[in-house]
Amino acid sequence: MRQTTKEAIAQTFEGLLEKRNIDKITVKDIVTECGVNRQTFYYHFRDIYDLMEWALAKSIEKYAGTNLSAGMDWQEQIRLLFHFFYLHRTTVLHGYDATNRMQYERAVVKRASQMVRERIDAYPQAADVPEEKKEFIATVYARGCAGFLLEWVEEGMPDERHVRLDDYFLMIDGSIGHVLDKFRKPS
Amino acid sequence: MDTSNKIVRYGLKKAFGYIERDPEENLPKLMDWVDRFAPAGDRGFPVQRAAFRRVIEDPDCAMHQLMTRIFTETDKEVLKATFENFIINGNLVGWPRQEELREEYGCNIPWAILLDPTSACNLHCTGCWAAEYGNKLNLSFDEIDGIITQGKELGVYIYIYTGGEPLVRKDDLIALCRKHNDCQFLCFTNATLIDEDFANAMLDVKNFIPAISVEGFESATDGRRGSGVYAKVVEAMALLKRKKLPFGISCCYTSQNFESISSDEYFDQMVEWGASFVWYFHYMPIGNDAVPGLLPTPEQREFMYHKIREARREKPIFAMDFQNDGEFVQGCIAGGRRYFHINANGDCDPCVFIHYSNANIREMSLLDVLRSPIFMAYHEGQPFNDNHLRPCPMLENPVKLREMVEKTGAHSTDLQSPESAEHLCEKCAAYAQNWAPTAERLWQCSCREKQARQAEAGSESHKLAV
Ligand code: SF4
Repeated sequence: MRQTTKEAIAQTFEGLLEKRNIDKITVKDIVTECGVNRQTFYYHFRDIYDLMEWALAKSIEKYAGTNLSAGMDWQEQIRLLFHFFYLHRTTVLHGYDATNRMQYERAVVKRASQMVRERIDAYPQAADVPEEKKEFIATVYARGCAGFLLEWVEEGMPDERHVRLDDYFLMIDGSIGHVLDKFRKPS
Repeated sequence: MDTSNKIVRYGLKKAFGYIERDPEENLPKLMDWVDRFAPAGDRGFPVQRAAFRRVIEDPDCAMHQLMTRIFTETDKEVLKATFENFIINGNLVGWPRQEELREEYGCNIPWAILLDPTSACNLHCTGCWAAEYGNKLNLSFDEIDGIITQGKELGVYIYIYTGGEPLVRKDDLIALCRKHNDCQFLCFTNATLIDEDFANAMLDVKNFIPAISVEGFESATDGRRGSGVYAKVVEAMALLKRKKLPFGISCCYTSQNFESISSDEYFDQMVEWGASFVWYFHYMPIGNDAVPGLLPTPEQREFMYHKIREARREKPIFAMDFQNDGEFVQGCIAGGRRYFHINANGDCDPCVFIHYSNANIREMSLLDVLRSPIFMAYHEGQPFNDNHLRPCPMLENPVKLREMVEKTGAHSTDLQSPESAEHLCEKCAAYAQNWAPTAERLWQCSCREKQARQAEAGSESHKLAV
């Protein structure tokens, strides 16, 4: 029951975001449109940015659930993540401002680092590298990828093929093994 | 929030790092951090910080054990939120702002606001003022939201729900916690509405701490509140403990129960339940049907005085007795000096026990409430007695309350049984007179002790300097 109310609020918000920028959307707009009262909104979300982050994570999750499959190549996964943003171009652009820049970044870093992490774990030497170091490596690579994404959003999100992911992959793929060697525990 | 606070907030990450790790090693570091952060001079709570420091450095003292317990048995995220909202916002950020405004407006600016979200209660306890309040008054979500929004402007980050049973409105309270996630919320509650869902919501918002009323063991509780209530309350506390949520206990002491609720056995039981603090309230003979016979005698109150001080030295739970601990807050804290109370009708009472007012939050701003006649009378009259063991304008100095009410034309805001100030104060006259000699003697002793401590501290710092 609660869950559905929460989702209904998120859906209303996304609907409004199709039409106008986030700074033109108020809690009042959302609750009126959704037919709930203010306290119900605040039961679930601290403010509009909190809602934005939740809605974004939720739809990425949904998209991943239907489009990503086990054993899929990690580069393909990251491409799909970019494609997800491309598909939601209008809302992503309407939701983009100084505060949300961080939220987008967090969402992408979280997803992308999981993907890179899978790649890292496939290396034989990964077993000798401490957990926190592997997390660190994954985050560094994911941040690079998130940087490209945000730059692309700022350019108004032309066709995602404009993002130079190929070069990025080329660079990373060869380097992961090398980086892991450097972080190996002395045995 | 000004920029310097924003910059400091980045430093919070560092403080959080200490909270996450082993307390024995990291509490001193956390304290160093707080020392660097605290504003200079009196506004930075130097005395309190020094006391904390002593506790941290003395592993054998009961308060040290309490701190270790809190740091190891509380959910880390909740602990961080409490640190940020209560210690940083509520005190180190809020206090200097309150001081500034006290000077600017020449009135009291509170540290905390008590409010009744509802007059309704799900239980019907004998003698409870809430049960007899009637069941229909509520402060709406928007009204409470408005109070908190105005409060933050004045530097108030601590909100305490009273009632009624506040948890009758638990969804709204969670919504307020989430919206005002920079504030610390506490809540007096009978705990019977705390269930798994609500505990999970508390974990999610992280800034809600219940103070559960438990007034003794099973027979005492069930006798007053109805059978089966005790078991429910104990179950709620077990749930909170399991979820690693912090909570406290509140007790009202009377001539009938003072011994049992301050016994060693009871203290140990409260620690066992997992409470981190216990607030004792002296019985107040308010309302037309109050029972003055429940007022503790001077001997009984003195017993409590020593007992609570002993417990603070020996039991790993933070015990406070509002009527006997006036020395730590320079007497009466009501009338907005440190706090005031808003009832479910919007009436702004100077104190949770004193229902006379000329101000309603539905009709005026928070600042105007603080500048209303009875609040100004408090401001001008405080402290009501130089002996902080006789702090109250009602209980120990009943003449004062009668005068203030008369002078300001404040009317009774009591929702259940409006009572004249004369009638109320008359019930306290004999009590006040009887208590005075004991209060004098205890006050002299504690002043001498304080002087001795200061002299000792003085000679120590002298030694250090040499
Ligand atoms: S008015 Fe009396 S009971 Fe209320 S805070 Fe002051 S001293 Fe305490």
